[in-house]
Amino acid sequence: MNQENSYLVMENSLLNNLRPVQPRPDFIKNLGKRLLGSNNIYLEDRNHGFAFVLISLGLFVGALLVWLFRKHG
Amino acid sequence: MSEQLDDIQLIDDAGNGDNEAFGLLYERYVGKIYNYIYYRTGNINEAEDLTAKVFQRAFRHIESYNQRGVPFSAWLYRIAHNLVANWYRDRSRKKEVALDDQLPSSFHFDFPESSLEKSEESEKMIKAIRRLPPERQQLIILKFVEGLSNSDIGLIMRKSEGAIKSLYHRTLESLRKEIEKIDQPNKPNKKL
Repeated sequence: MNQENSYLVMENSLLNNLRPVQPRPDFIKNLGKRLLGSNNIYLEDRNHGFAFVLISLGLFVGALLVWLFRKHG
Repeated sequence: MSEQLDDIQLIDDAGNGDNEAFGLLYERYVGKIYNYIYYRTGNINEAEDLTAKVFQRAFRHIESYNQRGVPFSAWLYRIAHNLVANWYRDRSRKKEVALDDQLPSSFHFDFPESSLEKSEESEKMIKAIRRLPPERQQLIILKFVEGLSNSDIGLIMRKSEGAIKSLYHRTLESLRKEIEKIDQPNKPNKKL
């Protein structure tokens, strides 16, 4: 019974001393804006054609250099 | 129950890209999550920072959230619990001590300024709670700050209602001992 009483006392103390706290209104408002505005992310449109041309050109220049090197080397 | 049903519709809409729906969920739960984190960390700045991270993570993963009998609030609390655990781990590595923690006025409550005695009692209680293992802190805060039932707490902590009851009694006992230690810090150990 003593243990039950001490639990009751503890529970009352917890109920009296643990109260919800209020977050800052500015914090709530700003976080809301940040969260809901974060969908406005714009991805670059990748130009695959240009990438293909660039890589092909690079390979061509590389092959040309190797050929020139072998011819004159 | 009706709030849970509302949540289901909002989650569905949010998962389909409806930001307004997520905004409503955010407004519904931001205070609760903030409270939980504030009581776990004892620091306003960290509470705000971690609360922001909880909702950013929830927003990013809302599409993958699956309601397998776990309420949305339980999911948010779990995210919060994990982030707080990470925060403690990182903090112990850096061995930083926030200045706020050293100031007696680091906790603010809705008490009248004149009730200094009550504030001191509150600080002692919170100090004792923060000495408990994380799981027991979680239980105390969910029960007394958030006012959740054992059943709801069980959903969050992935335990049965019976296990929560048992943990609760052990937690009260541990808390009593911590409060005793705070009250009598210089009590010598009696050795026979």
